[in-house]
Amino acid sequence: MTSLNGLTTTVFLRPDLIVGEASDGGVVPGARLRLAASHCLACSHVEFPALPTCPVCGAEATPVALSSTASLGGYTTVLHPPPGARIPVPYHVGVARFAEGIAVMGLLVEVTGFDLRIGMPVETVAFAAHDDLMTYAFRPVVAAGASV
Amino acid sequence: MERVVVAGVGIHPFGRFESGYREMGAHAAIEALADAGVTGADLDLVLVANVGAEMAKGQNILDRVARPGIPIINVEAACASSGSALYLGARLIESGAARTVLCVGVEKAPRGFIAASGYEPWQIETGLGVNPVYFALQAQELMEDAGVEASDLADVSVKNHRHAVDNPNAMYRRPVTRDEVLDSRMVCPPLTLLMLCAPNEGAAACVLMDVDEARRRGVQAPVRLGAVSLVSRAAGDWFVPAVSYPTEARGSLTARAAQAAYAEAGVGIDEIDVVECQDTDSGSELVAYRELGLCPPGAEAGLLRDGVTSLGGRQPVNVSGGLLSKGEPLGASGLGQLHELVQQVRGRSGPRQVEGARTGLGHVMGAGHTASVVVVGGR
Repeated sequence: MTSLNGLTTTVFLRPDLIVGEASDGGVVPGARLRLAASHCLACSHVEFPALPTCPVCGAEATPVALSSTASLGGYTTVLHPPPGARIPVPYHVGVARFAEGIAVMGLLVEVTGFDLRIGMPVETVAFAAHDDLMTYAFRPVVAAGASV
Repeated sequence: MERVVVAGVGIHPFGRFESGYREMGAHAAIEALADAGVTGADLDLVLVANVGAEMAKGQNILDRVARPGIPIINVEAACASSGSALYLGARLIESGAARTVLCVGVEKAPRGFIAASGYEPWQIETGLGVNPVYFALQAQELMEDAGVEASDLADVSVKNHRHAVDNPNAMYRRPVTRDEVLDSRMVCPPLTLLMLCAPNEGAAACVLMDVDEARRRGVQAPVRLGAVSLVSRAAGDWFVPAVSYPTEARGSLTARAAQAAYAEAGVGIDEIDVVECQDTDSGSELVAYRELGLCPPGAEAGLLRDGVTSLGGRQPVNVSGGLLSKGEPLGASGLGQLHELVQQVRGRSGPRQVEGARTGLGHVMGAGHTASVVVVGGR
């Protein structure tokens, strides 16, 4: 935890993974985020985490922000603490499928009250996995017209 | 491939042992040399497959076996380390650059989840660097798209454990029931503990030889190595251990490796009598059925339920017990498969012998990055 003007903030573990001011402590848990990907100028391949050149064709790539919402692909739960992890078990992991044509692995949070299913909408948010560990995660959202 | 035979095989049982990786590797190497009827002085090259031991591991193993002063090269590609060593050795022989190559695979893995599996520190810290997560996502996809039930995932493990009862080199030789598998500790839904293989310890080795050299030496029971393919991730591959992959990715490393191996060996999948595949988890074996071409997509569970892949069935899979029963000493798993296939084709597999086995297929998958398929026997 760091104290900033009397406010307590959690530092984002890899600020380069998201678009915005995370490195300044300007992101709070629960805030909506956009992931920082790269887009190939030659073959249109989208990569996350972003790379300066395209891993498929080698051409120059340019930064692109993924949509904040996506559709849930597969998901599962980790029930036993893995070596090196600083997040308490149990926790959920899911695949978010973005309109930009890329599927991204991430923590799946705030699922209470939701009947998880493949294809449900999720949004990208900041999540404090630990007191001093913030990362991106995916959170279910209620689609327009849908009931939870 | 026309010029390569397996002249001899050796194995150190898979399990948990007091001895170190050097002793286990040397045990398998000495057995393979004796089986081929050669000594260290007859070798041109040694390739040692291992993931986690230490620097100069192959050199440390060979130092206990023979000191012929020849090149020793260490090879690492996660669970495809053995396949990579075989690829290199076989191609050097086929090209005429070597005549006799010893391949050794060895591992002494710690218990539990595999650490240092190729994830970045931020993935590990945030809980995303967990292999069973990715196997669970794959198994869930099978259940969504291919009509696979939890009972099928359990039955893969039941089948392989039943096969292992007759394999003295396997770690777990007690048969298990479907309920035992389903009721074992949940690791990552839908996968329970008994649907996942345990990283463990062991070693396996083979002597690859030029076919004319084997004839000249009067090798007793050479088995043709018809193909060794090796592929890595391509742009359109579905690749779960990655942080991301294209949503439309449907390419399969295993399918590409299998097609390359069938072409190289000049055989079709229908000519394969016995299969050893990468059953890291129950779902991975079912995925391998379709990707190796044993069945079309969607028919994986049917193949299992009909007994096609059980000992006594048309194309038995993992009659050694597979990784689910043997455990997985990462660097040794592929050469362990080769040991089983060579003994099957020689008709030396005792109670788990596949009747009339002439052609065998082995398949490994390394950390999602690398797939290798070998074809032994035939023509």
